Amino acid sequence: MNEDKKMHILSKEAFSEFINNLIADNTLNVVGVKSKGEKFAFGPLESANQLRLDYDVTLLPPKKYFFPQRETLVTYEVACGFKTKDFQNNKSTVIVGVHPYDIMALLHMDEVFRETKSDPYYSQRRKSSIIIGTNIQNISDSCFAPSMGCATIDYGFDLMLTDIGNKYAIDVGSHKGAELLNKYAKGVTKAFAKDIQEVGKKKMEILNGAKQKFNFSSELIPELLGKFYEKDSFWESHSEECLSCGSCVLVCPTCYCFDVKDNPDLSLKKGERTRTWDACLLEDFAKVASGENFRNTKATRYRHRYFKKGKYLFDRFGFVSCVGCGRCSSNCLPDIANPVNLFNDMYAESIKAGFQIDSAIIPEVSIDTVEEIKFAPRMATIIKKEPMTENEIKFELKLDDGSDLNHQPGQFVQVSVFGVGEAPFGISSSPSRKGTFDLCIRKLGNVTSKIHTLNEGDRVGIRGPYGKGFDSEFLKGKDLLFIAGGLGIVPLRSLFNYVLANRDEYGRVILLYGCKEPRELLFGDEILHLKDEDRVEFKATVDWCPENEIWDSNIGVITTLIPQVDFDPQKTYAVVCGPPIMYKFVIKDLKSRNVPDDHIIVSLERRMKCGVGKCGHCQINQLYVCKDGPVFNYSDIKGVPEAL
Amino acid sequence: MKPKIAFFDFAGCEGDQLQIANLEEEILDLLGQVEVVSFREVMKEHSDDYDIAFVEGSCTRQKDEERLKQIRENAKIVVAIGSCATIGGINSLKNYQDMEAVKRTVYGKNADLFETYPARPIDAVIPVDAYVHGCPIDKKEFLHVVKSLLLGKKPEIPNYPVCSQKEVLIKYGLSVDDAIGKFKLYFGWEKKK
Repeated sequence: MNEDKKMHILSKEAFSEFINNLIADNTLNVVGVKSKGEKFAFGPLESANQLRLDYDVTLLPPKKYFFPQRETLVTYEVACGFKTKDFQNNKSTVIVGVHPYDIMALLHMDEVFRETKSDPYYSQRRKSSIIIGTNIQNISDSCFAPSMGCATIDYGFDLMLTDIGNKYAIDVGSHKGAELLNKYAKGVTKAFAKDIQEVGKKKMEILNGAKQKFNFSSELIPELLGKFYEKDSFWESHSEECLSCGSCVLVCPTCYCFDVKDNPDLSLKKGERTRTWDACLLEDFAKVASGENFRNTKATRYRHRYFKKGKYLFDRFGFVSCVGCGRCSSNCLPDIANPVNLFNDMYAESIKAGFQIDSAIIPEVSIDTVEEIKFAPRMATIIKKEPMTENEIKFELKLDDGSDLNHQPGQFVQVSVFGVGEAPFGISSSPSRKGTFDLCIRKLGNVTSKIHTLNEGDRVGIRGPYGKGFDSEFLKGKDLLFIAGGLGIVPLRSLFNYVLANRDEYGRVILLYGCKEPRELLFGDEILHLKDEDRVEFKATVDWCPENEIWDSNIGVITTLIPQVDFDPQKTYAVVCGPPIMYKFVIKDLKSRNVPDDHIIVSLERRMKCGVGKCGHCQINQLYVCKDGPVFNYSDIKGVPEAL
Repeated sequence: MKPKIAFFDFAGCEGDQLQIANLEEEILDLLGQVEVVSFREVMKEHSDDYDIAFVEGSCTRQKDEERLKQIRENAKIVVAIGSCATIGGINSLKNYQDMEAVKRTVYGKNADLFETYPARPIDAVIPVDAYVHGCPIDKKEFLHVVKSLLLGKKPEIPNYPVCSQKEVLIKYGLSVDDAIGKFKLYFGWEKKK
């Protein structure tokens, strides 16, 4: 064992002096647990006397120091564009009195924020902080950390305190911790065997001290949940009194969902883009601009919370992301948020039902950081604005730095309008076109309404391209059946045009396109003449045709076109995009034509907010549409209940 | 050209306009963006040529209806500010009492000189484009709504329970929309669906 990792002893007086020395150092920002009314909270320390290491639980977890309730991501000026915030505050933050479960929660958050794309704000703060943990002295009534294996911890801290009478035993967990002790503490002695024994005893007391306990091993949670997804009555009865207030998740130490908003100042010429904590329990969390709410009942939102913690994050990272702090249950007014009650009920029901529940096999996880998230959009200029229908306008854009977008067909970009905000749009031009790219935008919400008022020469911000697009390489040599409903033609066009640009490399190309009525047809000029061309087989339909309009093709929903084309299901790949309601019916018809599952490729729409797999808004069960999609192979999502 | 804005008050205490007058330094920034053509609390001048009308107070008599309709006709955007205008407010307390008795309580022997009827929010009379709720309104929320309107954006007012500030709502299990709906229902100016 490393010499500085041994246990040390500091008298309580010397410990106070140690803390006061830290506070006296202006290069450090020292925060710790203080009393707040009858409760406790982390706050700035002015003196060691304020420290209350005998606390049971704090109102909010210490994650607020790494992922604050509200923070500026970028600032903007209409004249210059977007700028990433400078990291002015380079002070190290020393957090004193973090309980082991909160340390574990930070370790979970570390994984989330560094997965694939790392969050620069979170990771910089994390790097420059020092964690002085403390073993629990008084366990709160709602705490079930022992059941989650998070009541004590051997890593993740710089220093860890245990109160053993008139002195603290101090575990040194890192080099940083050892240095801190060296520099600021006086009178540090080595621990004797009896001190170490005493610490062991204290830990045992905590492990046995919780009032709230699971009646089973927490390792069963992922498998147990897996058996209960479709038990609607179970979720409905447990969430019946839910107020959709989001308190349970807003106080959670492992919750990381956020919302992003633009706040212009009064000049309207500049402002900032901030992110704030958000809660998947709130009614509008999964609502998209078209009004569709993908989790529109209390029960589905309530269930999502448990699945996110107990199953989705487990599948992705290998841990159940609950540390047993009990904050959710103590902050829930109708008292329905206690995971112990829910899981014990679930376990009892599963025993009654005779389910065989095994410990979940921890998935093999490799979490890599590929790049850092860039929150500041690049600027792009509108080169051409071309109205397509009453509600849709095609914009041709060019990045101001002169570079190509370099997207895959099917990917999307986040478009920013100064002061109004950001929204995701599928790119509708082929990557084979250089210099500029197209977006076709329907007027629906605030961002789209504002974009519609912009003109040629106006500038917008662009982040991306993001997400997984169509695998145009893999599709080479295959027959392609494009099925587009309404606005679904927009992302499909990027692949369709790419295929046409490389026509020889693909087999048959069939396009079936449907919309509500003739005047809603998009890219009409471009595609209607395809009827007369040999290289594409094309059929169009409208749901209905008003008397004053002309339509000489099929009338009926999109599925009425499928029987009209012959194709070899083994050689054909169907590429489907349309309104949410369409998929079920189209896929059913394709299946009845013997198209294998993995020959069906869909592009899905959700409320993509951050675009980089963090904010949680676009999540469908375990998948992030912005990162794992928007293009999915049907065989990968047919078992994902929220997908279609 | 700067958009012209005007303030109007109906039955209410004018406390919301006072909040706006209290914006202090920010009011100067605000004046950089808009031209105020009517604001009884701070200026003498008045004009009927305005783009955005901010209306405070509830509608409690026939005469109010006519004036509201005129405002709606003049303005491109009508914003209800404060509880009286957005949900009827405290004036609605009289709604289940005898109107004659109410008049006598307030005006004594001169009661016959005044008319009154049950109080209603202004959207019971005219269409309203945006709301700033609260008694009084929050200055910051007012600015948020104004900035949104100036940017051509529909102001986003959250629809979830305001947990930390409004324990009452949570206690009774109401979202803000629920609470407003219940309030309207209770005071009899919205029919049960």
